[in-house]
Amino acid sequence: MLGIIILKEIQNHLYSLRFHISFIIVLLLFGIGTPGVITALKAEQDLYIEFQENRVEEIKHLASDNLTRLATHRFDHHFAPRSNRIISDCHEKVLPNEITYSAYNVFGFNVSLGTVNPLLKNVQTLSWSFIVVIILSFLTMLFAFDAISGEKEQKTLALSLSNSVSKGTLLFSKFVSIVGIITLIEFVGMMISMIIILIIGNISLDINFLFECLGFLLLSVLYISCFTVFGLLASIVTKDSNVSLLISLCFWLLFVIVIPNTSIFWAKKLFPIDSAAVVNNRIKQEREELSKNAPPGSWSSQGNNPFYPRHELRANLQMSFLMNEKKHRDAYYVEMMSQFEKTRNFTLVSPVALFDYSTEAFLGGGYLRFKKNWENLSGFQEQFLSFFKEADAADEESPHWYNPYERYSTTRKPVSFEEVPVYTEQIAPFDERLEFMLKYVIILIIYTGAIFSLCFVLFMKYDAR
Amino acid sequence: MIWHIAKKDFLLNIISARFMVGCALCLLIIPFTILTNIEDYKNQVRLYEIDRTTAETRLKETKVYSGLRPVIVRPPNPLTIFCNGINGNVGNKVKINFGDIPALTEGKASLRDNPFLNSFFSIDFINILSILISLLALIFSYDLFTREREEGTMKLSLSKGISRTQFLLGKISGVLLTLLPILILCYLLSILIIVLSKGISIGGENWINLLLIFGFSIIFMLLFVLMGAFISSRTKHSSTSIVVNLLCWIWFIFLVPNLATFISESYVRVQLYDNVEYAVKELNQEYNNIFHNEIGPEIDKELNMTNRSWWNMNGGYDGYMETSGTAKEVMEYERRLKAQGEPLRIDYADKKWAIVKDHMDGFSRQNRLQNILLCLSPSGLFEMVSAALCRSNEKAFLDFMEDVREYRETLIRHFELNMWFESYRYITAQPVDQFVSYEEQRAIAQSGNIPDCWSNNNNPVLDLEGVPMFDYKTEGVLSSLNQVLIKMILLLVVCILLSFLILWSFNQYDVR
Repeated sequence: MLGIIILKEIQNHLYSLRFHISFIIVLLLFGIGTPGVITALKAEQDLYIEFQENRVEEIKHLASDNLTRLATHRFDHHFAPRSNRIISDCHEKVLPNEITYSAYNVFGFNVSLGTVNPLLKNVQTLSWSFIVVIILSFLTMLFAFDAISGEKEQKTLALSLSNSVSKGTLLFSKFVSIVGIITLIEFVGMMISMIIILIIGNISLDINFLFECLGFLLLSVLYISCFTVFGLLASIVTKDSNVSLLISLCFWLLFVIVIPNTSIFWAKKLFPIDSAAVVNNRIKQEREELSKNAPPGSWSSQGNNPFYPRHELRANLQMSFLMNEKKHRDAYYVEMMSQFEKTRNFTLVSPVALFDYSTEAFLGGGYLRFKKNWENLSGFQEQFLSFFKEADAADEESPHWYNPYERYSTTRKPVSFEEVPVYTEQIAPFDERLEFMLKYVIILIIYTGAIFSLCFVLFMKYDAR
Repeated sequence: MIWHIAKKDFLLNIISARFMVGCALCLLIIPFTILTNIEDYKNQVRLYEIDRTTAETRLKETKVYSGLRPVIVRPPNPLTIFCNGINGNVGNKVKINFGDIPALTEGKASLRDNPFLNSFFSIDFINILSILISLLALIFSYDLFTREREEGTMKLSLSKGISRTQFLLGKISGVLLTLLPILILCYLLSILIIVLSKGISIGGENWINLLLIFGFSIIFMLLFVLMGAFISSRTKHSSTSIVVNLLCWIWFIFLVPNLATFISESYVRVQLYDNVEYAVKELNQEYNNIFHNEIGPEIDKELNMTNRSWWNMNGGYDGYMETSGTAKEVMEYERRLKAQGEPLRIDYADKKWAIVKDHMDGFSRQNRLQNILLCLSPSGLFEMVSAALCRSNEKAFLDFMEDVREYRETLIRHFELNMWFESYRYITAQPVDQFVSYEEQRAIAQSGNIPDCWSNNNNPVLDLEGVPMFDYKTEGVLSSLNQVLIKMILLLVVCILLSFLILWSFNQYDVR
């Protein structure tokens, strides 16, 4: 019986005007979005290759000049464009995507301009994730808002229930048919997108990519299910489909617009941290103190003489500046990440946030990617420093006074490019990604289950006459 | 008769659930958005005060001309509480360097405290208003004719000698009468919250701009009412009408503006910023190479110098150098080096600008395409008009940058006219008559009786009288109006066209 009702419901949807228009809009978006995303991705990948070549040239130049120059040089590790960006951009254009480091320290992170145009407003990539988050959630509401109240108005609900169909079966079939029809639209859209990818050919459709597509589809089914139960709830709590529509729209606006839009407000109110100006001031004050207490002549220098005795004082002072700054900055970065993580947890009341974070984790992008790079770069920096110190120790013409910012008092000998350690990004393995996303997926399942149970209870009491 | 129909519809609407929900939505979302935007504005003001004070203090403490590099801080505009435009994407300050021609500002507020928070979605009052008002306009107008038809009251009304035009005008006026109080409520509520907030004053011309935005909001609302009415006049059932209306809503409010940005970003390519930086860095290296390996050794040769040391020396970006207690031979070397090196630095700035400008031209091309595509969406037009009136659009920013570049030229001319590049004061604040030779310096250093003027900290600051200062200009109302007039007319024309279409469509409407 359940199967028959589901099929009947799906058939009804398939013949409806809303399905036809929705289908066209979604296909249009997949059709317009895919060539745009992959053309942009290809262009960015080419530019990134150029950037990497420039970087290699820079390292070669510094290495051939002198090792101290290489060690004190501040490099920016810029995140490479992800090939699965068509699925979701994971907010990588607005999250910190550049980390500055030298052999002495990982200084900090930044949001690189990349190819982002600051003169444009509403920078959004038309990825699959955007289509699911904004459009498919809206369409789900549009299909679900009158699932019960609409039938009641048309007097077909009483008729359906007069047959040997339980309320639970009817509700479940409505739920499955709406999820099914939206998933069908999404699936066709994804197929069209893949055909375009095959034709243009900038992204290889390998097993990894297909696995990611499948995972994304499953996550979006979960997300659509969550919106469906909210649509059904709106339909059950009233007898008038107009009111159901208004409630559905309120849910949608709350989840898609209001909660995400107020995140920054809540972050600052509930989880305040010091401003950057306060931290900078703290660093500056301690720096002044260190400078004041430094032995006389600490700022003296003699360009051509590495063994000029005051270079040791200068190196010590600069090193204490570095340690002071590192202490404050590292603590501040921890606070920043903690504020961000707490705010993310706070926004988990919205299915949009749950879907966003789980997709991001599943694709190994966004915040997970940043954290991985941040941790790995700290390890790499230590390796780079050991390499530098080893090479410096072998140089008899170096006084070995380590100065993190200047090149007065350590080796001035060149080094072969092949010997220089170069940082390469490690992509998070699947198990790590799954571990990161599990929390969000479980919450989304519980959320959907709870609201569906509420719908069930309310529908049991629903007056079908 | 039109009034009677409008009044009846108005009275029916205000007791409807949709009116209650609409008002509740506005009462909930608008104050919250305004409060968030006020917080954001206050943060901008806080940063502005910090930056301005720092810039003024640094300028006042400058002791040598090579350190005279003013920082221009752009004051925040209180109207950005209503429409933030591109303000969130750009910074608020520019340092006037001679080695670079500024293209963009620094100190983006959103990146200062916690850049991670940047990944959260953030929209302003105008965005929210365009979402809510358009949605309410469609919700009140989607069943303008279909409901009357379904209930059979349309036949009754039209059989009483009311013309279809009168009926149509009455119905549309009824919806407008219902929505206008909500719109006014949104604005009044926002203004009240702003007025009650401490330290924010929307002064002078800003009120006129706000009034213009309000006027445009009415046209925007009218357009969606007409759109809803038109769809209603083309369908027979309210259920069909609402679905079509909502799909149109999501298309015009969410998809077209995003598509406009997406298409302009994807199909008009710009260089990766890091590659631009790399090209600029190469020119910097070229300059440094000439400076240190050509100009320096030449002066060394002229002065017969073999070794140099400095007593108290600070150096930095853009040729900043401040030294004291250094031997006069080295002082002379540095003076000559700067006299020749600084004009060359300015020439190199022009070379670098060619690369940066090419990059900026790419941005401008993307921007032009985005603006054209945004004209396809009423909300796009509404946002463009509001951003122009709130002076938070790209034009206001680019005009500011143009003024900054002009100021840089003026400052350089001032340096050249006063021959500051050739002066000792470019590198030292120590009086020239207290310069000592190498031998004297060594003897004094060994004696331990270091004169006060050998420390940079003890030397006098520059007299800044006569030095040109940046004058921040804001656009007048007429200029802002000039920018938005075409867009306003465009939206009005669309409204008029839509009105004719509805009239035509409703005249054919089968009321049975």
